[in-house]
Amino acid sequence: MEQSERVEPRSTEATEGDVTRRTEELFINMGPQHPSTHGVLRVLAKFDGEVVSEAKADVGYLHRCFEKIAEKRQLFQVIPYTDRTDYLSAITNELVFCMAIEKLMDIEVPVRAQYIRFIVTELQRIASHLIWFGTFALDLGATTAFLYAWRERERLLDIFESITGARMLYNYVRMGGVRNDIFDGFENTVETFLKDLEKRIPEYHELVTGNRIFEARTKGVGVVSREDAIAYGASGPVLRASGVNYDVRKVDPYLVYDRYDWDVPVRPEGDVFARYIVRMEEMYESIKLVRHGLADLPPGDFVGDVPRRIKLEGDAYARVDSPRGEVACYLVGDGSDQAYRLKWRSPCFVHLQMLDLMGKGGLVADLVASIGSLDIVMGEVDR
Amino acid sequence: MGVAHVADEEKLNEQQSENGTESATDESTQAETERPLPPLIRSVIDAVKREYPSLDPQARDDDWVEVYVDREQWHDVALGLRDKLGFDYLSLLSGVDYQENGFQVVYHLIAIDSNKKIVVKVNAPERDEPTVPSIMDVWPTANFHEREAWDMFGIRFSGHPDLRRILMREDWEGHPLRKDYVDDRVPRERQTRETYAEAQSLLNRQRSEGINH
Repeated sequence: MEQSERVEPRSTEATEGDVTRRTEELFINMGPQHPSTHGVLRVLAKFDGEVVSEAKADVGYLHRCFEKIAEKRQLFQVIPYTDRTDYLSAITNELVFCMAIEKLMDIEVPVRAQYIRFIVTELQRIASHLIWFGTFALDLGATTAFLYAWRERERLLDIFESITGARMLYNYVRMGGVRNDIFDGFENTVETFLKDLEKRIPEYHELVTGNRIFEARTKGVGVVSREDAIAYGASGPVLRASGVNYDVRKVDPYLVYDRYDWDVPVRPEGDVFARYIVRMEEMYESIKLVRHGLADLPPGDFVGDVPRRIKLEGDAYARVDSPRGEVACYLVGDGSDQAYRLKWRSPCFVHLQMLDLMGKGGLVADLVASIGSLDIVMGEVDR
Repeated sequence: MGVAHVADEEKLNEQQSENGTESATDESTQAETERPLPPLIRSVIDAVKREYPSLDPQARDDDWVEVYVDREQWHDVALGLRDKLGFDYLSLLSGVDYQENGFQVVYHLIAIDSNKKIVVKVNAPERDEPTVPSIMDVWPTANFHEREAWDMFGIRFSGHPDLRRILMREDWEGHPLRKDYVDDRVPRERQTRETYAEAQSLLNRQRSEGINH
């Protein structure tokens, strides 16, 4: 970010001049090993001079047969596999899978378990958004923000380790509840963290948001209109940054989201900057929700009565709002104790279809910004 | 079904009382149509029946409406669902292999503004080349989903402009999520205590003989 003299906000004259001067079309492979593609994403990009004329995503490098494995294992054995789809937000994956089973089998989840799930889900959202903020800023050349974000995330991972025993892949949500209760003094630990985080987020804004280069590289870049966002199945922050007020937590409340009053951050612009702001504001909302959850955490069981004999019959569709978007699980049972079919909806997989839409007409650097703003996790895309 | 998720005592009681009245009306009228449905589900069923009298939408016990559509009319119905009934958002497209009953493609559709929800199921009974019309021109998001269903099940989506494998390698043979798919690769030898000890003793022997790796 120190080259502020060299980088100018894109003046319309310069870009128009470049566009009119036609050059030979150039085909470039971005990835699968490329620092800004967040894993093994390959972008087949065509360039007309400096301008992207086509950008198509090629995925599948990380495919590891998650859905096939899920058909061959007992249900409780599948839960750790769900962690490994979106490994930056493992709790939401476990949650949606367990919700689908609970829906099929009519398992009742005790209120305390719901609250614990609710708190860890929202903490996970903060952790995921923090890592996104860091890597996104890094994509745009700001190294400091990355280190700051990881400092906070590290504390959050410590909290997760104290609750679940693991830092990233928790295997914590179980059918009918969670694996173990929270530890003594959990409320205070989390509250201390939240207080610090509340002080830190304005620092992030100071560091990145007002920066002239940052704004020049994000505002008006990778624009997705409201209609396109809906047609292309965008979800989560990407959809909400395109001016659609749609959040599964609001319209289809699960856990205890309907008990509290909270806001859904929505921005109408649909560009990279709007996605950035939506995610940053979501962190505040998550802090609010975690506080509500901690205040109302009721006593009781942390896991409900689950029948010893598991029998899945019929089909169920469960969906949650993960930090990346709408994660959903379509589970079909055939009367046995294994899933007959498990289909995973991964928001990043869906979002990658919009790459062409976002990248077209921009520069290579804008394509990097667009990919960064989608917050992709390749483990989830390829499953 | 909703009971499992709400687990809110008040709502539980409400639900139970509703169930109570339900069974009472059932006994008195003996007609399924009299069952009180939530207004949103009722409106979806009515709208689908009005537009397509040949279809038979059913309320599921979660808050979705389920409808089976013949694949011959599916593309037209899809356009109608989007333009007339407002289902503008395709949440998920999944293929399912029901073995002797053929394949099924399941579409989960949502209306963003009103949160109406419908599950459309389209059957394709052939074993070797099941074909379903592509709805990529209706909901562009179906592109990757249809490619995945082709990749995993070999379901052909007629009208899809670029139906290639997406997750598996291009030269992969067969469609892995089919129930009759046989993985004929040679299984990897599993390491046990014995094989490990064997390998170690071999290594030690080689070391003592001065062979370095």
